[in-house]
Amino acid sequence: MFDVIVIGVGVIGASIIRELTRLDISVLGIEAREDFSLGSSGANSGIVHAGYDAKPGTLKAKFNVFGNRLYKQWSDELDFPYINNGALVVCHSEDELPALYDLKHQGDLNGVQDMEILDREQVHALEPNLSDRVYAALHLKTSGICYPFEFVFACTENAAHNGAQFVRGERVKNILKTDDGYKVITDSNEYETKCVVNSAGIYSDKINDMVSSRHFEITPVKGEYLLMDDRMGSMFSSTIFDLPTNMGKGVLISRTIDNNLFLGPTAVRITDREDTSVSAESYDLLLSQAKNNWDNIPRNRFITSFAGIRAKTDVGDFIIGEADDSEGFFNAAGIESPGLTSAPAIAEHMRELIRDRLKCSLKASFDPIRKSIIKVRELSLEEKNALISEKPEYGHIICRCNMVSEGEIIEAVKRGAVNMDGVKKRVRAGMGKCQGGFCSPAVLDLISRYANIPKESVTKHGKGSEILVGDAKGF
Amino acid sequence: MQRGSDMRYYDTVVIGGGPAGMAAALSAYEAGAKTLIIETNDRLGGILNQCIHNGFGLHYFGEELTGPEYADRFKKRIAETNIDVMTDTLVTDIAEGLVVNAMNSSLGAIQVKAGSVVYSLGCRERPRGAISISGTRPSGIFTAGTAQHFVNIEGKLPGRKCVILGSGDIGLIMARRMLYEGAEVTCVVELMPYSSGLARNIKQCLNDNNIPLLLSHTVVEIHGKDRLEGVTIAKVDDMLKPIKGTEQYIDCDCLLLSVGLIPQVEMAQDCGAMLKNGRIFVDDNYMTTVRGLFACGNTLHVHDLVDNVTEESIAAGRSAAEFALGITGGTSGGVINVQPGNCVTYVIPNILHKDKEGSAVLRFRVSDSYRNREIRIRSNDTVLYRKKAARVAPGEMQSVTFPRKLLSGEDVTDITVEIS
Repeated sequence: MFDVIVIGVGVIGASIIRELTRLDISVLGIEAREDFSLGSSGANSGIVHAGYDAKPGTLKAKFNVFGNRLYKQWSDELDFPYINNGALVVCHSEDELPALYDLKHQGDLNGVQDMEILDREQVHALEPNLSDRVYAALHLKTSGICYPFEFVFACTENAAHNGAQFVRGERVKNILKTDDGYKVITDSNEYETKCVVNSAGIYSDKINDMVSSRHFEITPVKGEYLLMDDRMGSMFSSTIFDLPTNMGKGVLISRTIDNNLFLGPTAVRITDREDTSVSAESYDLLLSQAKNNWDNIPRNRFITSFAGIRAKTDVGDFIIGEADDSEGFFNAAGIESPGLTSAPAIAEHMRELIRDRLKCSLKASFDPIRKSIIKVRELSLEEKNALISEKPEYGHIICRCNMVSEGEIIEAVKRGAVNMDGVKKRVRAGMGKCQGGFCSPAVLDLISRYANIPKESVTKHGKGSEILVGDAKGF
Repeated sequence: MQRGSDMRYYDTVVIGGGPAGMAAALSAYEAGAKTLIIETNDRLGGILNQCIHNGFGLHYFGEELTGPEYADRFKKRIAETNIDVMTDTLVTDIAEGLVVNAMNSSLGAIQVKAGSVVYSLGCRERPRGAISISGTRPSGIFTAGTAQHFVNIEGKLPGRKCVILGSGDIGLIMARRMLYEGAEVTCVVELMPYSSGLARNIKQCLNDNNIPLLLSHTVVEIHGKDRLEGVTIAKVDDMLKPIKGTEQYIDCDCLLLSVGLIPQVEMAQDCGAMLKNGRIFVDDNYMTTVRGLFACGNTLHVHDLVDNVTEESIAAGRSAAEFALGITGGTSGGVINVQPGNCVTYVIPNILHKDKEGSAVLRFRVSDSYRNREIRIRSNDTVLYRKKAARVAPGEMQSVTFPRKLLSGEDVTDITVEIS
């Protein structure tokens, strides 16, 4: 019997579980996919938004702004990279200037600080590579970037360190009310719990329907991205936004933690909630939108594309709180943008709701600190030598593009990676210019050896996506 | 060797121990340089180690060898010399003063001061993401070289029903290899109206095995959520854009991409080497714009024949040694800029020194297939050199060797290599 079961371990579930481990309770996280961060939480913009975009008075606005303020502390404690690079919302004519001022006003109402309207000269001084078409911009100094998947792993590892349990590769099929709470039934197990937290993202409506009659709908909206190599991030130091439309924040141009640059996302309504394909039309759309702000986009610098699916609700806001017809069942549902930014704040809020429901105390032994896997590429010469003399596997570089060592890949497997994407998202091996061309045989071999599975069973992202089909005839 | 702090010194440090690096190192050594080869893999040989087909060495050795056999000739010679070899070692960067930073498990992070550096890193393969094929991202998509590694080095099959995009040599070779190793190969799809592979590979890999070659076609979409299930191909027009209505679905579980090799120039760029049209800019000593940094092999320009890589690298290695040993006193006689002209896409080297003696070698590629033309070297309106060419094609690197005295005229400051 658990005190809390959290369904869905994306950015929301992972951060909630981390906060719940501050309490003297037992927590289980159930993730349907084979690993964390293989869904939308691993395929989004990674932006820590300032909070100008959300409608005042909404949960989105509240949690965005509070979450933004928590990022530095969470990043320091959990050792995931976060860069406060700032953002510019640009406009292209004098006619559009009032819209920028409206956004700033909305930001003020939401409690966003450090905003400034910049004129053409100031914008171009800050970002010389922006097209001359950019007329003015709203500068948001509190905007930042992170890797959403590193955020997830940082939370799950810290949570596990503080006693949380996790199961992966189990899909929740049904939830029954019991005398003491709930019975959560997955495709392979049953678990009893006092409380349930629904952070199931694009399936959070289905989970909610298993328990509560307060129905809501998730409309899946796909966001596609085009990614450029890790020398392109120097083009723009701030994240560049267009004025938002009713479909969302529009197409951004943004650098990433390791200096890649991406264009995206699109906003495409889909029916298949697993459709993460990138269409030819979207390539063209993203390029033409980015052209508003960037002349001469070098097309030979794209290295890959990816897509994530937004869990958009029909109520236009997050759905957070205890279902009023189901005591002990808490929704953290429909968390689309600014979900990543809001996660720390939502997690703290959910912790307090549950603390109140369970009347439990804080755990004295809670340790907020988690150390990430060492990044050899960031070490000084002396640090490298100290590490390698103790652990030689950190001196053997497997991913040349990103300088990722064998030691890091082995550690990724030890920390839970069971497939190629899991290694990639934990330590970046395979994310570089060659997209795994050089390193994937070695990464596959290390997964096989350290996760103890035959080479033919090593997958890209879960069962069905095995890399190899068998032995070559001659062998 | 001692761990860490002590800086080692070599006259010539060769980065990359493939065919280019091995030939350059032997040449540097024979010119008297104390030489070190630094190689990322666990052995020398580079890409040759997985090229188990033959066709290597017809020119250089006068024999038809497999890739590993060709590599072995050089590995054996290196073993008989005092050339130092560090394998499983990655060069991370080349710092100011030609200090090569590298790391491996046994020595840790080391620094090697070099009198000269030969930069022979080869290429990486162009990945799917760089050519923007839309669709899903399942397993079963490989660049041809990675698939070749799995098959030839590890004995593992990447798929059972294959489509190959790109009819360059790697694509053609892998079409045959996959067939021999038990897979079905449905077709080779080629964007251009011609194949860039060697004629003998088209015959031996495709024609002899009845594998269809679809010219002027490309893959427009990938299907399959977890594992590749199929691809949609389409015919392309003169602008290489897919023609609506010509789409065909092909069932497959494996897509091999042979869509271009990209020279790994970034590290050279980072230490200041200038590029011209994406290629490292070199003079006729194969020296880059960074003093003492030399480049050769596929990292300089993508070759079709390893024999040419060897020849080029022998020259580069010797020049590197001479530079390190102070044998060449620096050039004083003026330079000639080399430009690609009519029907020529690029020429290497980019600069010839007037005061060098002997013959000059220029290597270049043509933009299209031509018959019964002339290769000309022109200075302003004067043709300084001409050579008949019965057949030239983009897929076959051309070279001309001519006496340098033809360039000795005072007014010769720029030459153009062109096809008549």
